[in-house]
Amino acid sequence: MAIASAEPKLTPYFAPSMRTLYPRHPFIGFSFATFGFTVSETLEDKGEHIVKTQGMTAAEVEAALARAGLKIPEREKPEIAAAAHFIEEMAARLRRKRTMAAEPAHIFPPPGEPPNAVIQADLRETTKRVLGSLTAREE
Amino acid sequence: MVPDFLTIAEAGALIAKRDLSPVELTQSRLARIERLDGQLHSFIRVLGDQALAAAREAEAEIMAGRWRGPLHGIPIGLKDIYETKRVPTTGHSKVMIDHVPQADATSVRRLTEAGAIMLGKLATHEFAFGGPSFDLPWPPARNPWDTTRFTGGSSSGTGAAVAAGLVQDCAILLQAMAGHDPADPASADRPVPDYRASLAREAKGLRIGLIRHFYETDNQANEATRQGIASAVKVFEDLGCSVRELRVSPLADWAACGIVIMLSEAYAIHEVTLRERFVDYGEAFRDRMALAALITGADYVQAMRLRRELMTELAKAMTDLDLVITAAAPSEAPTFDAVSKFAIFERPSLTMPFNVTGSPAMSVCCGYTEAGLPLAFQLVGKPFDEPTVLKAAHAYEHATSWRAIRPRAPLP
Repeated sequence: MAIASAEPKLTPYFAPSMRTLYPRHPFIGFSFATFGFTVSETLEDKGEHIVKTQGMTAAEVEAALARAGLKIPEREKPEIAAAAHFIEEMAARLRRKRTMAAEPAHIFPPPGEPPNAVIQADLRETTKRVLGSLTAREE
Repeated sequence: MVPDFLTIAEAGALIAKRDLSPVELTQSRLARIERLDGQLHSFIRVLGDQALAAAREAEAEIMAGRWRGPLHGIPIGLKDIYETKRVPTTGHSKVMIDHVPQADATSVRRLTEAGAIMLGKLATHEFAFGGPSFDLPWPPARNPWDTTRFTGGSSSGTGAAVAAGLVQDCAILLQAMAGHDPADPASADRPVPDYRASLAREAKGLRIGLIRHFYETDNQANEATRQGIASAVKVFEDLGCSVRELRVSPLADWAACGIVIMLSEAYAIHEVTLRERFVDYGEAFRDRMALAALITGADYVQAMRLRRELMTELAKAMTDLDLVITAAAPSEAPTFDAVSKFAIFERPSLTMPFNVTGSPAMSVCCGYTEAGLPLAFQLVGKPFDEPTVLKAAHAYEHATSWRAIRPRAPLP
């Protein structure tokens, strides 16, 4: 049985949401959401032309959950589908204009990248401690 | 007769002087659990015989002159996500109801080595994530200030069982547990400070940043909470601290980053069991986890990239600060029926920013509502600077009278 269609709701807390950042494509006249993704193009877009899923229909949510192998009780399907917008809105917030070098977890940032202050401070402290523990011969 | 309310520091001092028997203390706590926990449901498993045996052993050691320290002979409860050797550890879930670990978690081993006595296992949100839920093998813990209310979580049973934030006790417990764990690749290998010693230092001169927009615009706190925080700021100023306002990224950014990482990682851990036993999880946990199936690999990596940026942002913002203050929750504890299944998505969590950055943070009571329910603010330090957080919290606790107030009705 298909999930009842549920219109995504916005909350004031995660606004501006993808409805602002990832509107339907105005030039083509239909939504890429039909195919599971949409192209963003607004000036407010922090990520600049990021392809991101948005506005999943209840059927798309159901298909995604089935593909994940989850056997959801019928009663819970509409509630999950209605809450899918939370994930989409959070995922939109993660997108920023970043260089390709901005990898997720670097102890040694690539040349030219701003250093991670926390990691660098830790490295300085560790280096100081190790050097301080060396004997004259080891130095 | 053993008083109902004793801090760890107080009880530890009495035990060290042999003015209090660990056996009598343990018996009094077991009797109190027997008397009250039918209403509170803070424990899901009480280990009475085991606790009394350990208490007798502790007493014999102390009488023989082998006192181990301030936790020796102190009864404690452990949230049921801590692995305990030969004692079921369920995560408050049907999914792990038969799980009996073969070894203690490092933290449990350290607490036991320090002489603490395990009274039992405490209620939690399912796998520290799903609650509050009424469809699990055990009921959710209830708030001792008002049993119609949520305790917060995930340490729901822990909160209900303690119901008083005592900084000195926190320092004693942290002292016993802190330190490098070779079995944990994420564990930092650095010296452990003397946390209790830090409590003796003055708070004067501390530089504090107040992140007001988190609770005034991003997740609007009620008036009582705002007033409580304003009063706390005044207390710190009177203690000789400087307080200035600090602006960082919107709270929703921190929440999105933290929730996407948390959901993705939890989903990866539970993926196989979710496929095979979906309805054995509580509805709140499983439906939140179902949403995690919609998160893409790219979302997760973007969250990790954002996490790095937010850590750097906070580190820079705190360059000339020692601490940050903000709200811990937007209000007093809500009633159970006010907490929806998807509540964690509806309003961005005020504590999540410091989960994202890994900063030491502490919730401290800053007053009470007219109905007598406690309110709290957060004190947040720089990475590994727990001593400053504890020092400030301790100074605040001593400058105010909140710590003396305990839950009353409807408890007998």
